Amino acid sequence: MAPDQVVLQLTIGTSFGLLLFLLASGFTLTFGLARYVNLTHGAVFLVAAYVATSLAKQGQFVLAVLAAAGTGLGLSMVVYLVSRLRWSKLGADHLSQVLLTFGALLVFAELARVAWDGLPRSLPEPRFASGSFVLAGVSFPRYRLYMGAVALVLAAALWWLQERTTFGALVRAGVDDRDMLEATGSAAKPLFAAVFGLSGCLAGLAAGLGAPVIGASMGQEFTVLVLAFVVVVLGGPGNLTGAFVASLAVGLADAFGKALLPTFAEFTMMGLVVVVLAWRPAGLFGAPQT
Amino acid sequence: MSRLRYSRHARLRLGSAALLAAVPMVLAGCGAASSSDESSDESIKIGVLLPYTGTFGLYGKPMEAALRARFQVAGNAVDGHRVELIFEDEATDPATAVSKANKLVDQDQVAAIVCCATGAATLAVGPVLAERGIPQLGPIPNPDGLSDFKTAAVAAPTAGHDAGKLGTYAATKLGYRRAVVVASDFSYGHEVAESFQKAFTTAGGTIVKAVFAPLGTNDFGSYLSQIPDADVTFAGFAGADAVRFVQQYDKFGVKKRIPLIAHGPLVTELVLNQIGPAAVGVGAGFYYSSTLSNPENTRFIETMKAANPKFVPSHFTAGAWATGSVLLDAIHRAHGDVRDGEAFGKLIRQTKIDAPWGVLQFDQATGYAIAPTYYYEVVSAGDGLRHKVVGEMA
Repeated sequence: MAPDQVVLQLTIGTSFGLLLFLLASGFTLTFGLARYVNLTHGAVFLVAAYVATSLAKQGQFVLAVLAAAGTGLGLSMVVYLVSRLRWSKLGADHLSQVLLTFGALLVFAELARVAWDGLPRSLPEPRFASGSFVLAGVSFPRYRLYMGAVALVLAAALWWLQERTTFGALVRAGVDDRDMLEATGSAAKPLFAAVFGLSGCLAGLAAGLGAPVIGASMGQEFTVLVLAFVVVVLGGPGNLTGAFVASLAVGLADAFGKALLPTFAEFTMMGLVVVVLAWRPAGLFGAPQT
Repeated sequence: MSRLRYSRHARLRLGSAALLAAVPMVLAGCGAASSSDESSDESIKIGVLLPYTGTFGLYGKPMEAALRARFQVAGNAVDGHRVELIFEDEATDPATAVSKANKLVDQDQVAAIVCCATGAATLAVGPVLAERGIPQLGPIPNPDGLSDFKTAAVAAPTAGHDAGKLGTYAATKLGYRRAVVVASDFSYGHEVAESFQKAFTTAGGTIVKAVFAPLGTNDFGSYLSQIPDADVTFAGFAGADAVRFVQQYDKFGVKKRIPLIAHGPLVTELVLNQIGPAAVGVGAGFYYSSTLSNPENTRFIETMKAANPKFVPSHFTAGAWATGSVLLDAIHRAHGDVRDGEAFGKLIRQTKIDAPWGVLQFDQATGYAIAPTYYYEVVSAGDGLRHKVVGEMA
């Protein structure tokens, strides 16, 4: 592979990997902290993406992304409140969580289909980020750089929130040992609510920022969910650094896989999962299960 | 206090259970438009299996509207015989389609079944109806595989047929010598890619590279960066993949180097304006475009727009309309006696009518429609994009 091709695939893979991180970070937080498998994540992304594409008028881009984030937040809180009705059962039982959130995923997706006729939609990129520039002898869409940069800033903010604030310390304590956290006098439930909200907000942001590239379409609720699962399993549940590294690895594996072995591109991502899990069963940064 | 707490919890529990139970029911209520007009013993019943839920769920309602509209134009009757349509949801699922087909035959005693918009459902229902001697009529391009059944017919040419015509046209009329083929990695993509490839090479062209991308590919960037120099790219994508592919084909600068041509669904009216300016200049080979100028297409679009001003015509609804015309004409030639399924199936295959895309008749040997195939280009017009028909492909 020629050096300029390597640069090009690195750029494509990194920009897509950063979007993946936004998409999966919320999922990994709920999974890690609340030990809650929130399958609704995919449908939250779908509905938020459709909301963003409804604000497709020129000059409304920022509004569209914010609306998507708000939609994500709102839907996630709905899931949280429904879960709270049977928290004693749901809190500990993964199978019940999967059943409830998968049902909610189907309901959200069906509502989206009715509301937007099930047709694929897209969001025009903002004017300041439209067009292409030449990279390694090939045109490269300018918007992808902006998308990557914004995702990077959000990732940094998330890192700061988790590593440098009391909220982050409590979340990390909850991931490591929820009982011990409660024994020190911090209630886990409000923390869960906040993490659910944050998670939905991140899914919405990913949907809004990603809309000019991947748009909104039926079926996304599942593809997004699979991607989020891959990132979480690779990185280790609840570990943001792990999710970040895993997202970039998946993005790059995907880009190079498509360029070098287009016929097997579908397998490169899953191949990565197999290799990593054989090597580290708890994921790249996950603590060994006790 | 404790009782109070308990009752509050119980109420919430009950409430949530009721809510969860009610939502799917409401959804099922909106989705499955299983309905029947007031039936009388003399009326001729036609069953219609369309997808109202699942991946293809978006096509059910518009296609139902087009079929109903076509029958309404005829006064829901042929030579004084009342004709009644009974719709069922095939749910984009072959197993559901088969059980609904059996229900339509056993319970509703339909004379024929329009089936289906989902390729897999069409093929699953095929042998069931053939065995029972009930005519099956496909409303849109269905995959090959119904030719063995004497009572089956499809009111549209196969996707492969149109892609093949485009292959010949690209090599001869458009003068392209070297082509790249990029298509969806499932049956539809392979069917159009293979047909294009075969016709293009037979006409003297060469295929430089063929790439198949998985269904639901989000990022085509890496595929696009590997497209070698060629005279033209042929694409075989539909739905959301089509939107993303055409947009990214432009964004990654390939469109400036190599023109893009495709089988119709890549730039169908349903996705065209979502793709945006990236679609301008894309060429397509297909049997239908809403901009075709003929009296039947005008009648179809005007009738539909009168009922719903926001109606967007596409080959799905045009196909449903033409299917209605075929049935009405066949019932007329049967003098209203459609009890013998094999005879009715034969009459359906002998139909020759005006469809929104021109004359529609059937290949007597296979049952698939013989229809003209057009080449058109996407042009920008005023506030949106539209097709500009260049001509019919020989």
